[in-house]
Amino acid sequence: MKTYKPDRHGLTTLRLLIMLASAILIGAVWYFIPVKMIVLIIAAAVGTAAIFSMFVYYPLYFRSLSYDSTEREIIKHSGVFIKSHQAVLYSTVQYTTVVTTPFARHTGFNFVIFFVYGGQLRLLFLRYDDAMEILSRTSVSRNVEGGDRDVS
Amino acid sequence: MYHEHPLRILRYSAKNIWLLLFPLLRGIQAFHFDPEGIYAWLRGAWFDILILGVIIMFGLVRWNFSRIDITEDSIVHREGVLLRVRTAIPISSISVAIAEYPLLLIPFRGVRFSCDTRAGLLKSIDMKLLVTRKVAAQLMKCVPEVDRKKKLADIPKADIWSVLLFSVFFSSGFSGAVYIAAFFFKGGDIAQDIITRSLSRLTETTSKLTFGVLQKIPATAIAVGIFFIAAWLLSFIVNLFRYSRFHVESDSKSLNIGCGVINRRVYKITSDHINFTDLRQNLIMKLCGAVTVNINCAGYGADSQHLPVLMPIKRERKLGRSLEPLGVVGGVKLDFRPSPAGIGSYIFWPVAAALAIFPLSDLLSEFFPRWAELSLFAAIMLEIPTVWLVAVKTTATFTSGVSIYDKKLVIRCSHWTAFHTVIADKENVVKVQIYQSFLQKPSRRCTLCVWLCGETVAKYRVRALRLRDAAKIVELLEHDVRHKNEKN
Repeated sequence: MKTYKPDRHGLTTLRLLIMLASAILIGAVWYFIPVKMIVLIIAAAVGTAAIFSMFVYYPLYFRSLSYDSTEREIIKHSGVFIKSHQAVLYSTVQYTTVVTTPFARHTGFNFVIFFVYGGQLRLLFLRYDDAMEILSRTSVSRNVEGGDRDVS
Repeated sequence: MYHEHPLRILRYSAKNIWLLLFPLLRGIQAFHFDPEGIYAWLRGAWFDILILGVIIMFGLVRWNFSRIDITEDSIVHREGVLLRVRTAIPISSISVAIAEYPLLLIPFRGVRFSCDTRAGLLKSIDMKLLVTRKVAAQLMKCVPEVDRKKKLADIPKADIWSVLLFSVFFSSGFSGAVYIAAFFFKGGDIAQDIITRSLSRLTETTSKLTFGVLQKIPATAIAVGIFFIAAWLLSFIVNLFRYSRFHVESDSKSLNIGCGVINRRVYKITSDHINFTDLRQNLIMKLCGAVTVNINCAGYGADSQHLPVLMPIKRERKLGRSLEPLGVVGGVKLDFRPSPAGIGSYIFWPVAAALAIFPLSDLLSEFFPRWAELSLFAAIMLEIPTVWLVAVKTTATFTSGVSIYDKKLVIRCSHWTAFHTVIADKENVVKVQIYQSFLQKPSRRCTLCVWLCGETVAKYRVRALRLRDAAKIVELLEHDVRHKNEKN
C-alpha cells in the first residue's frame, strides 16, 4: 500500500487565488457602492472569510487529505469537520478525467476523477507525478499520460 | 489526432452567441445598400465588432485546444486552455455510441457524436463532440460493429403503421407545450412575438366561439383545450419525424438502431451493457395485445426527448422468440400473482380521488362563485384521467405478477397509467424489499419492490402479493431479505 499526500504547492496557489478573488470583489464593491459604511462592512466580511479559508480551513483540509493506493483499490480520506473515507476498486473504473493547469508541477492543481458505477471519486491537489502514478494503475492510464505529454 | 468541427468555434465563443442571429436578421431586413451607410455603421459599431472579434478569437483558441485522439483501446478528448481537461474513455466501457446528423448541419458536413458508459449517477452523456463526417465515421468505427454474417435475421421490422401508432400513443399535450415553451424562451424576441400573436388570435377566436356557439363553456377553458390539442399535434408530428425510418439490426454482441428523418440518429449499443428490457403498454395497447419494447442501457434514451425504444409498436404474440438473444421473452406465464382480494391496494387512491373531485369543485364554487364554470370544467377534465387510472389499476390487479426461471426475472406491474413487463437477469437485481402495511397484515399480503441496476433508479413494485409468495421470490432471487416470520 502506498500513501499519497496532497501537493503543498496547491495550498499556496489556492491562497493566491483566494487573495486575488477577494481583492477583485472588494474593488468592485468599492467602485460600485457609494456608501462607505456598507463598503467597509462588505470588505470586512470578505476579508474575514478569505483569511479564515486561507489560514484555517484549507490548511486543515490539506492536512486531512490523503490517498491510500493498493493493488486493487484506492481509498480517499478527507474532511475537516466531518471525516469521510471513500474507496473505489480500480476494476470498477469506467473512465477517467485528468484536470491540470499550465506549470502543473508548480501549481499543485492536478486533479484525477475516476468515473465508476453510480458516481465518481475525485482525487484533488495531487503532485503531477503522483497523479500519473495513480492513473497508471487503471487500464486507461496510457492514453491519458500520452495525451498529456502531447499537449504540455 | 483530430479536431472538432470548426462550427464548434461558435459554441466555444459564447454559449448563446446564436442569439445574435435575430438582431442580425432584423438588421439585414432593414439594410439598404449604401457605401456611406456602411461607413457610418462601422464608425458607430467598431467597438462592438472588436469585442465580437475577440470572442470569436477566444473560441478559435479553445477549438484549437480541443483535440480528439483515437487510440487502440480508447477515445481521448483533450480540451481547455488554462484548465486542461483530458477525458479517456476505454472502448470496452462504451455502452452506447451515438452519431446524430441534424438537417441544419448537413451543408457543413457536421455530425454530433456522443458516447456514454455505465459510470455516473444521472442520465448524463459522458462525451459530446461536434465533428466532421470523416471523424464521426472514425469514432463510430471504434465501437464494435454488427457482424453481417452473424446478424439476427428474424428481428421484426418496424413498419410505418408501427411508428404512426407509437407516435399517437406516446405524444402528449404536455410535451408539446414544453416544445412551445422552449421555442418561446430560446427563440428570442421574434419567437416571442410569433407565440404572443398566435395566443391573442386564439383568445379572440375562442371569445367568438363562446359568444356564438358554446355559450356554457368558459372562454379560458376552450382556449386551454385548443392549446393542448395543438400542443399534442405538435408533439405527434415531432415524434413522427423522430421515429420514422426506424431500423434495428443486431448480432449477439451489438445492436445498431437508426431513426429519425430531420435529425437522423444512429446508435451502436453493446448488448452486454443492456441492463434489462421493458415491454411497455397503455390500457388500449393492453386490450389490443400490442407492446413497445424498450431497453434500459446507459446512454440510450438519456436525453429527455428520446425514448429508449427497441421496437416501436408490435403485437406481443408476434415478437415470438426472435428477440430472445436480446433478452426479450414473450408469452411468459406468471408464477406469482397478486391476490384478487387485495384490489384495494391498487385502486384505493384513484377511487378516492375520483370521488373527491366533484365535491371539491362544488366547494370551490361556493367560495369563488365567479370561477364556478371554470371549476366545473376543470373537475370534468380531471375526472376523465382519474377514472382512466381506476380502470388501469383494476386491470393491473389481474395482470400483475412475478415469474422467475433459469437466470431471468420477469415482473409485470403498472406505474401510473403504463403497464410494464420487465425482463432482467437475476444478477441485475440490486435490491429487494418486502413491506407490509397495517391494513395488509391481517390478510398476510404485502408489496414487493425490486430495484434493478441502471443509471437511474429503476424500481418496480407489485402490490397485494401473498407474503409467502413474496418470501419465495426473494429466496429464488438469492437475496437475504426474509420476513422475520418466515425466518422463524
